[in-house]
Amino acid sequence: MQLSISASDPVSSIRALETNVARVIQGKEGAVRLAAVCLLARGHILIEDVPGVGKTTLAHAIARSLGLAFHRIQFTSDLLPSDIIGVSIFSQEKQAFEFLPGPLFSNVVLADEINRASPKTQSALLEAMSDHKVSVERKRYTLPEPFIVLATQNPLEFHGTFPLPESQLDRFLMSLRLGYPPVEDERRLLLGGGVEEVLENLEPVMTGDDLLALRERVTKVQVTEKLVDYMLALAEKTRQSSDFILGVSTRGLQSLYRSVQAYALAEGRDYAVPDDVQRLASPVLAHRILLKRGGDLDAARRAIEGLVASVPVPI
Amino acid sequence: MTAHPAMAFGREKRILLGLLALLAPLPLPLNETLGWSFLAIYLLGVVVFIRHAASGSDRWLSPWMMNVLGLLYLPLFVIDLRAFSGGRLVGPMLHLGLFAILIKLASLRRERDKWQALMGIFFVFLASMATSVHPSIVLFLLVFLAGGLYLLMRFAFLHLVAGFGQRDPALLRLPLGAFLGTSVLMTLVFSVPLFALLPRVSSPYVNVRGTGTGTIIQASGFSDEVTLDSIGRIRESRAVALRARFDDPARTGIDQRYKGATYDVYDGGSWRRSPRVRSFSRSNEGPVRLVEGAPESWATLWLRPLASRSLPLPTETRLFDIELPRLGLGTGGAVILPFPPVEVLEYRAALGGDDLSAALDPPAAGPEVPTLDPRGLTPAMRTMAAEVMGKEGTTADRIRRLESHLATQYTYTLDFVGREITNPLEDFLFRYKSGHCEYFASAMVLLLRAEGVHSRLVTGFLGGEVNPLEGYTIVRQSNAHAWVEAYIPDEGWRTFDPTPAAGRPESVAPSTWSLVTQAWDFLIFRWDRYVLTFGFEDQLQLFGSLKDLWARLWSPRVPATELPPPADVVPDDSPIEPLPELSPRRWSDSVWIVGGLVTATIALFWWLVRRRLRGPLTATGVYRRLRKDLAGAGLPVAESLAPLTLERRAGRRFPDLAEPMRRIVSLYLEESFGGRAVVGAARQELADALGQTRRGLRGRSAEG
Repeated sequence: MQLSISASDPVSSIRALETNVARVIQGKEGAVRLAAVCLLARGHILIEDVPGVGKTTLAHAIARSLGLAFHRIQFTSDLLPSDIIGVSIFSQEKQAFEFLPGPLFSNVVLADEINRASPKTQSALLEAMSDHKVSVERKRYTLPEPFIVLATQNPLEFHGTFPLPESQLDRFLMSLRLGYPPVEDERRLLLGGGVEEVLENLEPVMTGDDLLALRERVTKVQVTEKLVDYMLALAEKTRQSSDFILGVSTRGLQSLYRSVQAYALAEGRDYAVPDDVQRLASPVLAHRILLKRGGDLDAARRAIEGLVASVPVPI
Repeated sequence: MTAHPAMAFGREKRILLGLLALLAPLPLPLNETLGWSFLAIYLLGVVVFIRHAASGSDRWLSPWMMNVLGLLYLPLFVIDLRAFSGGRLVGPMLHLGLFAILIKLASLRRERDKWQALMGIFFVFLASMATSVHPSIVLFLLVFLAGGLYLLMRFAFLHLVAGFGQRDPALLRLPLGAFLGTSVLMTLVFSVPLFALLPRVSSPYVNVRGTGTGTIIQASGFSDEVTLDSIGRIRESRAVALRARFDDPARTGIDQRYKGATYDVYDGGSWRRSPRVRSFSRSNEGPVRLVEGAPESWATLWLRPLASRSLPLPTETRLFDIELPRLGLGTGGAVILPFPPVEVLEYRAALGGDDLSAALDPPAAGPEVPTLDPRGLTPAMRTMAAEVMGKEGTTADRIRRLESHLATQYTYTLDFVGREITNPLEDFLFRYKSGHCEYFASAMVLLLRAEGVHSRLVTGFLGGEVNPLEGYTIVRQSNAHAWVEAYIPDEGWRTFDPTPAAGRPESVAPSTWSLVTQAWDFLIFRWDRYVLTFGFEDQLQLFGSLKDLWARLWSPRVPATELPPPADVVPDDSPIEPLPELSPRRWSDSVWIVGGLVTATIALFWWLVRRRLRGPLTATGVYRRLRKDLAGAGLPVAESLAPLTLERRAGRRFPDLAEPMRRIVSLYLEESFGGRAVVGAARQELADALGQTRRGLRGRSAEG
């Protein structure tokens, strides 16, 4: 089934993408919606959860649904930057060095278990994520557009891992958590005999151009001034509150703004409402802050939710 | 401290404070007490403050900077006190007060500072009150106080509310703009008509330039005794002495003379003013006739405080009218005021065709006659007078010979550096052969007396600057001049001017630059005319025109009658009409007008309040009400509850009302965040949904 949908009907094309992904990730509509929003908002996704809840499957399903060039990189501690960026090799024919692009040169990159790679390799990914460019031996190569990094990490693994630094976390638009599926869905999954087959047969429902057109559309979503003030008030609170060491950065606010626009479009509106901000505050902001009393991402999410509950919504 | 940071209202309070500071010096007679320049700096400072406050910035002037600024002002204050205000205190104190407030505003940081600044503003206001007492200003003060009180109560209330954990954003958002707009509007609506219509309580300003200081009286050149250099001193000043508007446009801009004072006795280098011959009280005499003869046109004059008891009048004046209880008339025909004017004095003069003086006819002859007083005459002067005037021709011809001799053979100068003066007039006539108008005029008077012609010295103003903006003439102190009046038998007292044309004050044609200064002068003139000296007569006139307007409004078929002709000049022999009294009929008019205005204002206010209470049907308003109703029905509605979440929760709680609530919320979101106003059918839909939910929610709280 080949579906090519024009961006003139953004809602149905986003729905088609979500439906397609939901065929393999069942019972996770919220997470799938957030993943779609992330794509629309030109962001990279960090999926963080315990093993075996479908992180890789989700990334895989998104890549396949988009019908774009896709590479999966399994991060390990001995992975070198050149393993993902590429290497220059001396070509006998041309009598010159020739650059052989690595797996990073594709539209969708699945960086599996990103926290297992050394900081050096992680930072190689950093430039690619923020600039969509990589530098190799004093030359800069532009990555294809769209360029999306889907990274996964296991929060419970400590042995032999290198936690991502704040600067790199800030470059992910959202951090998602999948969680265990509802009992009904899990039961169906067990009886249905796995999702590998479905995943293999997943057809793309959106082209790269469709996605780019949708992204253009997202920037036109209206965000009123009072809503911006609301977001500013939330950010200000993280910066002033004594509970936080590190508040939300300006990049974090920009990310929230873009995500809110994308979420509004996915909800079928051409304007954003306070509910969008509340829905996105924790996935977009939680991985960007540092709590004073420490704690994992879950604690950060709870802190953000508490914060949302204390700031008045503009009427 | 309160739990909620937004409950501090710092920004709102600062803006309000700035606006009050902007209003505080309003009742000052601005051009008198405070220099315009100082006021401009003050206003600029306050505007900057308001901008700063509006931007919500928290960075203000640091305390040490404020101290430095305060110290810097101290020497300026001393200079202000000594140089600009001639030792008087009120002006500099007001300057100091305004400056202190400005500094205080700039250094606002804490709550306590705000109250201090507010008190400062209040005291400046009180000080400005002291300069002019007037019902409208008293009313202004009341409104100011009431506004401040209301504000205080409101803030106290909000702090209290915040203290008990109430966090309704509707309370947080003070309708500051509306409140300020309304209070300013109300102040204007109330005080302007009252200012214009209520009888004035006129009280002299405390602080006016030129009162009570001897130096200025001497410099004015119109005091009871003048030396030969008085005019020279006054001519250095560019200050406006008087403004005159002539009903006959042909007179505007001509070399008009304004006679101020006359001097008969010359003794030891100084002149003594002609004695007073007559005092009259105006209440039973009305307009004062000076000279017989038919007046041709009227002129209106506004004399600024000149620290002199002289009333300058055009030399052609036949009769004049002034609102003063008592006046004096000198033997030289100059009018003497009972006291130096302390505010702008308005009066009217009816002018005739020529410059016949109002002076008394001199007695036949003799050494005791002041206009032939021989003091100061020397043999050399007598010889010269006989030579120049000769014996041929009429008296007028002989006088003119002397006049032209002086005007052509002597030169004009204001420069007296290095002169040794023993007998100033002899030195002028035979040694230096140069001097200024007072020398020329004094010499001519004495020479005429040597030949037996009655004569005296006259001081006043000549010429002026025509302000094209309202067709009036600005006469400055630099237009001060001295000339001669001589008596020609069978004709009367005539004006002669021996000063060479080069030395006379000029009538200045408006230039490009002077247009700017004249525009400024025009503003000051208006302020003088319509604020400071808006008196009883003006009020009567306003009543008349309002009545006409009223009559015209109610009888539209009657064509608008032409304006009444200008006040008739009283014919020669007819008794002078007394000033019309304010009749009871007019009082009832004023009661009607004031009552109508008050009623209209109350109606307007009521309408505004109702509008505010009811408001047009907006989805946002309906959504607010829905929140309130849901809270009343027992659903917890926190401030941080977003609309769609509210809709979901309310829908679960009241499933039967889910649909209308969904419609309200979606219309509200469209309006508030989508920028699409609710119009047409959606309006009806909104109203229906509101009605449905209200009916549905009524009495639900018990269930909840």
